[in-house]
Amino acid sequence: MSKPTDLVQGTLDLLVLRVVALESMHGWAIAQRIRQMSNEQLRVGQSALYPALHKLEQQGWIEAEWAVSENNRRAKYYTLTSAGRKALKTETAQWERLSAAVSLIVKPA
Amino acid sequence: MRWTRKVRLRVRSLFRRRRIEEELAEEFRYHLERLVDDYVAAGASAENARYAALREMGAMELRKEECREARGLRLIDALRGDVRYSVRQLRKYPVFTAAAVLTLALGVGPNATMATIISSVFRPLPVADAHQMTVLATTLAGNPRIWQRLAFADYQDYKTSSAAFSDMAAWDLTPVGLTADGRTDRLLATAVSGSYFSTLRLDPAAGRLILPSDGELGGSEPIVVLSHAYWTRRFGGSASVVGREVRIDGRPFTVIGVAPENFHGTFTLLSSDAYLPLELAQSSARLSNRDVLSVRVIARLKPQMALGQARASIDTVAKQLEQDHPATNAGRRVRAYSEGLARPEPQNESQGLVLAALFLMLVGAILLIACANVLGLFLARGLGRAREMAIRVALGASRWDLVRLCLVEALVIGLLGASAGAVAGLAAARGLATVAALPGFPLFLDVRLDWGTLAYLAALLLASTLLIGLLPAMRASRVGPRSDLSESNTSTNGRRRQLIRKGLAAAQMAGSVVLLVVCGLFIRSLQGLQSADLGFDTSRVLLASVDPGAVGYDTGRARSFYESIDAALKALPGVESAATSVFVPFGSGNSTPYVAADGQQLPSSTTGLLVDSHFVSGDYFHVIGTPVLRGRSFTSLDTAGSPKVAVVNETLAARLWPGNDPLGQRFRTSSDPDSRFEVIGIVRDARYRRAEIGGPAVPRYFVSLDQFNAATRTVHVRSRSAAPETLAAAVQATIRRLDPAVPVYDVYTLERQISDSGGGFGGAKGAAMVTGVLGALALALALVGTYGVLSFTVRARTREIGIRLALGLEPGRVFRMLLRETWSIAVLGVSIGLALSLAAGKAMEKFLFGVVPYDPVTLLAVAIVMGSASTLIGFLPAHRAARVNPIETLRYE
Repeated sequence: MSKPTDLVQGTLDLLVLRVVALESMHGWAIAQRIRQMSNEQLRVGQSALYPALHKLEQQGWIEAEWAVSENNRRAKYYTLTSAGRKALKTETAQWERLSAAVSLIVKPA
Repeated sequence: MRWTRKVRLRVRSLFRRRRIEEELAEEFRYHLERLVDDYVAAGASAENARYAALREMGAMELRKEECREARGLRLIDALRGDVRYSVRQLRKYPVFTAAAVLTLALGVGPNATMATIISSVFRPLPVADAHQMTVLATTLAGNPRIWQRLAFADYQDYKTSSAAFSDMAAWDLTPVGLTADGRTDRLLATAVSGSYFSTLRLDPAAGRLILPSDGELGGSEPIVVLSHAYWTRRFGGSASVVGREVRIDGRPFTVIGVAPENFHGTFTLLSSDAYLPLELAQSSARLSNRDVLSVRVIARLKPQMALGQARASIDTVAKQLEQDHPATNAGRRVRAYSEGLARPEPQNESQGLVLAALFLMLVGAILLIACANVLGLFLARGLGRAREMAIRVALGASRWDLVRLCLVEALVIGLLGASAGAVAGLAAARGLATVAALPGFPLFLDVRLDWGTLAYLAALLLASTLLIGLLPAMRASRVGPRSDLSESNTSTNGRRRQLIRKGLAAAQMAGSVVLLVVCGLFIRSLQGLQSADLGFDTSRVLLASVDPGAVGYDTGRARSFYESIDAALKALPGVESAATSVFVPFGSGNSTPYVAADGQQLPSSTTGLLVDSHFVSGDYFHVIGTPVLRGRSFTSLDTAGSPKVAVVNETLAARLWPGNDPLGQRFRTSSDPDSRFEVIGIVRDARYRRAEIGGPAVPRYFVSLDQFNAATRTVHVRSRSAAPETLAAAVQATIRRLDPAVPVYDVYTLERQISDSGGGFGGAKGAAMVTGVLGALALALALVGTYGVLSFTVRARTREIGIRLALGLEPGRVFRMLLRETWSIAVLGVSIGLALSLAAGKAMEKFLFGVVPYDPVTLLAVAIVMGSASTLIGFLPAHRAARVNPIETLRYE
């Protein structure tokens, strides 16, 4: 599994927000979805995921609710809040600016 | 929206801790199970899958800790630990804790009392947009006095012409008798214009209120609105009271509604029981006379209109009125005051606010003194705990950990002390509000804890926590891991610490000096007032007010009723003589017309002399003990039909007819412009107002109650014995026997009227008593603090003293050395205190009477008190030091 340091600082928050924006899901599903969507390129371990989730919840960007999961067990589902939706927009814009800038430098002329 | 969510989450973190832990565990368990499932799906055995999953999860507890940190739980945990530790520590040392909490409670208590009372005086009216409410008052160019009323005609002109106000209302307080079910209550009613309730934008609690449609003067229909409090008290809050008929001053009135709850009228300090039309309370002649200031005025500023703009707009109208009505309005101005600040009425330089600030500063000083004491306790204990702190540092506690611990300890003490003090202070405020009943003034204070007071007390709590905790915290943060572990501590090292402690003691003394000086100045004012020659004999007179008008007596019946009272009272064995009067000396009621000698222009505010007029019976001067210098008093020959006669005081005689014999001269008054009064007697100048004491007497004349009508009068009874109050029951019974329905009230002695009433010396007396209690409290706290510092010094220097004694120093010199130390503290404290009290005295100059703010007697007395008290306090530690056994101290350690 990849370590959080593999990701640029703050990127994990963006990924989580993006994934949760689709539908409310629990921690495990979030990790799976990130892996799938990145074509197995990004693997987020629970070591980084859960502190990030709790931080985002504390910030009020996502909110949590207990529900029964697809395998019939109680799981904590996270949903994007309206504040989170706003944050996702600004974070996405910022990420696009950053990655474009990095590409400009990294790509051979 | 977002911050409320955050707060909710924080609160949840604080109180639902176990729940959060369970959820955290379950969340991780779920993740683990899914991992296991994955491995099983990939073909691993159950046991292997579990093992692999656990390995992959890694240090689960560490992850959980990271989650907790993300939630901000770590700080909460640490604080929780600090609180738990502090509480344990405080319980372990109950004497220290009790001393600190009690001291702090003594400091916070007076603040809570004062803040609650001030807040209840300055609480905004319970109306929409209370900040727009404005009070108008009349002034005269070149005269600093403020008249609280406007001429009704002026009010009408301002109402129509000034663009600054959205609405304006006229009102005044008027005592009435309300009879229902055969019982008569004497009430304080408000006579209101039709616009009163609409200006305030109030809605009825039941029925309807008096409306503009009833008429500008409230209409001539006999209707009455009850206050919510009176409605509940008297009619049990029954809705059926609306439409009911009651009698007011004997006339039938219909109750049309009930004013909203919490609305007590527009005069702070008094509670209005009923509201009735202005038209029925004042004569139309009085209201239309532009020279009579007849109504109080409250107005509502238009939105976004500043008080300054409103004043400018009023001035424009005033100048116009000055041109239109030069005879009455020359030099007359009207000034607008913010209602919320002009409590109870507009005064020059907002004296009410200044007084409130002054008292808040005085009680603040007490809190500072108390905090200094608690700080002293903490510092003394801090020395003993240096070892503990060093151990904590050695075990890895960070500087922040130590600082936080000290602050939390201070906060725990602060919370305990402040809560105890606030509860006691609030109780004291409630007690004061009910006990401080002034004679003839049904004081009303709506004392309750409101958010403003609570916020103020919370700010005081935070400030005192910082005062108490910061210094020990800073000291703790300087502890090195090894410094204090190595050797036991005799603490002779800290010269600076000694200085801080002595500085604290000196500051405490300075604070109590200020309070004692302020108290002394008030006492001296009171002495000055009490020793003044009032020009009448205050002893042996009992007052009793009677209001036959409240049950509908007309003037003829009232007059014969008073004649019967007079005869019946004079027949009582203990009574020497009796008389009646409408006003009492130093009372709240007065009549101040303008007069001019006959032959001069008709008196008005511009052409006449402003004087006091009194309505008395023939024996009045004899009963009150003011000698008739020349001529005679009223006799039974002066009747309603005979020519009007008056008795004048020396000042009026000298002002109207300088150099001529006043007897037989005639004068006219603005209140009765068609009559001419012949002077039949001259009485010695007496002092009936506070402002007259120590200055010139007010020109004053007396007319006979036989020639004027007044239903409400005060009976003056001179007793044979030196204790007139013993006559109270007999006097009341005698009047009741004549008609049990007529209200008899305000029965007390003339001496009490003068010494306790608001118009008399009640204010100075109250201030002297309050500052006396505060001063004594401050002195006690400061002495305890100084004693603590001194005994601490002696303990810390035991070894040094032992060595000195061993080297041959006489014990007497040790004694003197330590006493000198006490005196050095006292001299420093007293000098700073005296300097500060000069400033305080200057600030309260307006409230002093016949005494300068730097009154040498007061300053000297306070210096002597402080000197002897500190000597007494220093004596014990010094004595103990002189008896130190050198051998023992040297053997020690």
